[in-house]
Amino acid sequence: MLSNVNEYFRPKTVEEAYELMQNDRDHSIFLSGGTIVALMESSRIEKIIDLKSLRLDTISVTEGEIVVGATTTIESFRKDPVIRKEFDDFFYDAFSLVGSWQIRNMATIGGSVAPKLGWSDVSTCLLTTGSSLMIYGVDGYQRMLVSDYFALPTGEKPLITHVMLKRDGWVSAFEKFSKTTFDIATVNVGLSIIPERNRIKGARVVCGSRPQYPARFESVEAAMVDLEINDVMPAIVRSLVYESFSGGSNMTASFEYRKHLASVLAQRAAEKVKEMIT
Amino acid sequence: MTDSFVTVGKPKRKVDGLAIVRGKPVYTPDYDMPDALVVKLLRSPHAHALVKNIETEQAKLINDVVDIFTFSDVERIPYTRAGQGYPEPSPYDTFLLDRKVRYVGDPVAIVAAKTEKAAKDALRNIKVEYEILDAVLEMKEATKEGAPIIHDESECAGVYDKSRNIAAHYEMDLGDVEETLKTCDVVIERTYHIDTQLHAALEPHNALTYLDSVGRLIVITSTQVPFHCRRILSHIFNKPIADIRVIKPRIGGGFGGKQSVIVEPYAALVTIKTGKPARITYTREEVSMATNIRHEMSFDVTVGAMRDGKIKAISLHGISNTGAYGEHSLTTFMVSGSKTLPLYNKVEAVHFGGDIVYTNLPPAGAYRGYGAPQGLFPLDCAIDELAYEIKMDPLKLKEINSIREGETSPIFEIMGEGREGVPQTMKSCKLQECIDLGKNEIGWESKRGKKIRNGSKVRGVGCALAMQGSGIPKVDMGAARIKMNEDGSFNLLVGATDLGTGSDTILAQIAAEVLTVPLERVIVYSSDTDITPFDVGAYASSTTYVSGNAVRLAAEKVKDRLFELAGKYLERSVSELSLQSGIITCKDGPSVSLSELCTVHMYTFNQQQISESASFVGEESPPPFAASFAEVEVDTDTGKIALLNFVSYADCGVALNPIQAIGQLEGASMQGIGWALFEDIIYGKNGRMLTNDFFTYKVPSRMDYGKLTCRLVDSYEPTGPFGAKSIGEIGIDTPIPAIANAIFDATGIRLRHAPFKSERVLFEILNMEV
Amino acid sequence: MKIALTVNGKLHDIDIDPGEYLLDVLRRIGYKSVRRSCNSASCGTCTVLLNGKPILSCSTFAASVDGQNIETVEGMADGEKLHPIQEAILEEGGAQCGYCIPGLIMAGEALLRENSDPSDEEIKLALNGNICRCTGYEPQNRAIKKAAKVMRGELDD
Repeated sequence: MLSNVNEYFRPKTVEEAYELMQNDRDHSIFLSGGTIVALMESSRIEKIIDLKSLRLDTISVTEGEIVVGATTTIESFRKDPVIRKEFDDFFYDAFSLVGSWQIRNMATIGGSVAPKLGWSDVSTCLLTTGSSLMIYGVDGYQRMLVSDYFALPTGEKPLITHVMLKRDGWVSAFEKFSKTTFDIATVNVGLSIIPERNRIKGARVVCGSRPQYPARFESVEAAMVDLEINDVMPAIVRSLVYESFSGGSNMTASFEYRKHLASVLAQRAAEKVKEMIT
Repeated sequence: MTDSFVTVGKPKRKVDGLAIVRGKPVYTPDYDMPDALVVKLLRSPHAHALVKNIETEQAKLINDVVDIFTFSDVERIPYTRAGQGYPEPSPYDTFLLDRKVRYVGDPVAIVAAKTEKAAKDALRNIKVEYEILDAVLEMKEATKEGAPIIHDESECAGVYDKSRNIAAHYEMDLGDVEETLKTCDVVIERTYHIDTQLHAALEPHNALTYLDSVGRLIVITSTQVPFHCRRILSHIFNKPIADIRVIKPRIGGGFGGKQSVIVEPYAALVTIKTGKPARITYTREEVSMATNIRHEMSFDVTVGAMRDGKIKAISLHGISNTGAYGEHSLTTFMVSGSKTLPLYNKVEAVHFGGDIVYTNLPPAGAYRGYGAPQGLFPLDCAIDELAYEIKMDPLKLKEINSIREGETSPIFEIMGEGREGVPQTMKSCKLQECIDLGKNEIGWESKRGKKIRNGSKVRGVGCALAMQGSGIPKVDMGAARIKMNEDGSFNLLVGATDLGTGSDTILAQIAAEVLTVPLERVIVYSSDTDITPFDVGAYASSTTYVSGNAVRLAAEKVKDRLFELAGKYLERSVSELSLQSGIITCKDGPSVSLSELCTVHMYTFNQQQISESASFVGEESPPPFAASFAEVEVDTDTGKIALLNFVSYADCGVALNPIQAIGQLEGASMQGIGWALFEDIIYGKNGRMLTNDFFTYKVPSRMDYGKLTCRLVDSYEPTGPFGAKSIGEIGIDTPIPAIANAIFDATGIRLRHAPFKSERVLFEILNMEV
Repeated sequence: MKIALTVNGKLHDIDIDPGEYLLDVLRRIGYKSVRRSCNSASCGTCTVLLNGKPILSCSTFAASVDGQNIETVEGMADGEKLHPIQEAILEEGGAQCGYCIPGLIMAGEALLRENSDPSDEEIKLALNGNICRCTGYEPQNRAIKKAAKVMRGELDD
């Protein structure tokens, strides 16, 4: 039990939720799926603001994008038939190894991105698909890229209300390396390509759990433009990623190992994408 | 073999099975005691420090805090936590609370409070002044000149050499290894290192203590050693054994982690001092950092042989890391020799020896295998390396040099556990059958050396042979009492400790078989020091062999008694009587059911309680044997080892309950597989265990292996109950060497440091390619 | 604060601390099959069903499931008659120490409600979050497969 918690709020509106947080930022926490809060076990927390009551758990389709409520669970998101069809099972497969079935039934899309965790597979996959977030903060509603969210100063605690997935026809793949199958990533890679006449017109290459939070590798993406989508393309991607990798060491793996793994995973993701395109 | 039996040898459902699948409240945390005080420990953040001052007054003022104890509140009595027979072959180097702390997590103060919140608040408000000392964080540093002395206290006893941090030392020589090596064609000299491991039993250590209506101390605890626990508590608190009762309910796993007296003394202290019930429950972090872990060991191994494959000399000289306290130190080290070396009994010379050293790391203790896996890794792999030197199939090399039925090894007599052993000849040894069946199952001939490629992945197979023991001969004693009820059922009272192993069930099967009644008519009650007779507890793979023999003897005595009474009742001589399916029949017709016999003897005829007991001590420790095979696929791009197939065939004598026996083999194999591939303990620079929860310490999940095939071969041990030996530990011995050997077959890389972390593997591969 | 929970079909009105986990509340009101093991959402021992979906009660705040339906293993058997998953676990030897079993049974039940004929891979994926340290998994996987057959009516109980 978090023994210092003395208030449990169930706000009805986003504005109300945000206000509650502003009242006592140091001792309050937004609760979405709950798994991260449980891991924290902090005695600092005195107020819980439960976001489930905001009912931000629907998925709706517009012409250009799919809008996902932030408190949609990972499992219902990945199994949603609209999501499966639109992204050709990218999220269905990628998220199948996030945590465990139980964790996927609890953790939410928004809640996975919000704490800016380095190892979040969800964050890597959202970056890979060029997704954006709708947040509610001091300036009211704001739309921003996932990467911009990561760059926000740590003091700010905006509320993520929606995730917007682009319906842009890009082809994506995800690879993850971990110690066991019920484990966070040692390193993970997402790769997305838009082909044109069997050449790469555009690419998004993301590496996460570096151990830092996921980042796009723009120099790799630029170098990939115009590459022919053939048997050597994945190997080229591998050496590009190897050269550009930035990250660090921690108790799980050394920088050298991560660099090597990231390049291999990028090659494998590129292989998958190539198979899907050709 | 078991076809003629009715109950024994049958895959009977566990007697506690219904309680388990219904989720009944049968574990220690399920015992309700609403006014039990919450006991929490303040722990040292330093690996090595003196406690200069502890200020608890502030904390004691917190609402709902009842009391706080420090070293000045407890009598300074040295003891060992080790659950072993008395006198324990472990140093008495532990104090309930001490003025010195020796690892990150070592308890400094004991808090008793009415609520968990108050206890946690109290912990935060206790002020401790430490004088930080230099720490020994690597076992190789422990004996170096100028290393800080970890156990300098005058009261501790049984330490081999305090000044050099050597908790224990052992040396043994058979013949002359040096001289014999000179006569060998090939000599392999290597160093092998095996890291530590967490038990990771799902039920955290916990205990509930209270004073009964006449002031006796009652302890309900998740333990493998209730009788040792009682004795050690008596010693620590100067309380007569008669005034202490220890009860073990169902427990959620142990694997050796609960073969020491860890949490009980803290709760007992609180109960004794306050008069109130007390409950202590360790968090997962505490279980990982502050109970016990496996002995890390490193061995210099030398194997000398002739070109034709005859191994003539083996030397194993090593160092074992017992952490901050020396429980189980000498014995685990000796087992790494005594339960591995006899496998290769045809040698002319053997050397085994080394130091068991203190470090400022969490204390090591008993863990399934108990030194045998640590000794088998260097032994089996060095022989595997030898095979390649002389261009022989490693399975063949191990096969032709290993022990068989009817043979012996002088090691049995020389090395026991903490003392000499006993000579023994193998009355049952089906190692050859294990090898033959196992190698077919894995496809040894067709797969070995093929290095089958699949992109960046390459496959290989490896093998390992193992032995273990069945109890500690002439030391481990178990006893059983059987009393009869008027409906023809029996109460079986045993001290033997079921930790999920199913011992209650197989002991009941033994009794049921002898008494010719269905399993359901034997009601087992175990591990309660007031009511059940003595048993050393669950370790050393002793329960089936030692406790099982006691049950069989007691049941035979009951049977004799039944014949005697039936004879008088039916007015026939005993020689005319036979017992079958719960009915005693005379040759010439008259019969009496067991229920009628007992009813009359309870109420109307020659009234007496039909009840007998028996004890058993093994004169020998007949080893189980196993041959295991691993098929791996090494991803040369990432270093990841995928275990495609793990096959293990074992000779456990007669399997009294095949499902339970195979279950032990499978579970132990999986634990060894985890140790080989995934389980990794990492310490911070200050000696703090960083991988102290299941988020960071990964045991295998369902998807982490391909196929696991564990089987038993037909065997019969004449000294065992209905032919049984043991099976609890041996499965964990083979995965590390078998997998190491398979990795070599696949890649040509010898990994001599376990676990085989993928990062380590990858860089070995890259080095090799350069 | 007060919450209402329906557990195995029975309505409970409970006084809780706002920071209390569902696991502790369930144990407090008598459902002791729900156990604490790791406390870091990493072992699955504490699994219960929330509106039919398996979740970890050690990481769920009781307040967040106010008014919802919880199922624990105490509700699985039908009086004397065990649920097919319970029978299969006993038959196959899927329980040794038993600590992981209630969580496993609930996750297994949730799987079979969604998928009455799961493949071996599907069983392993669904139950990958239920750690067992004793059995080495084989008999448990077999038990779920067998229970599925029984529940489809293809095998006698």
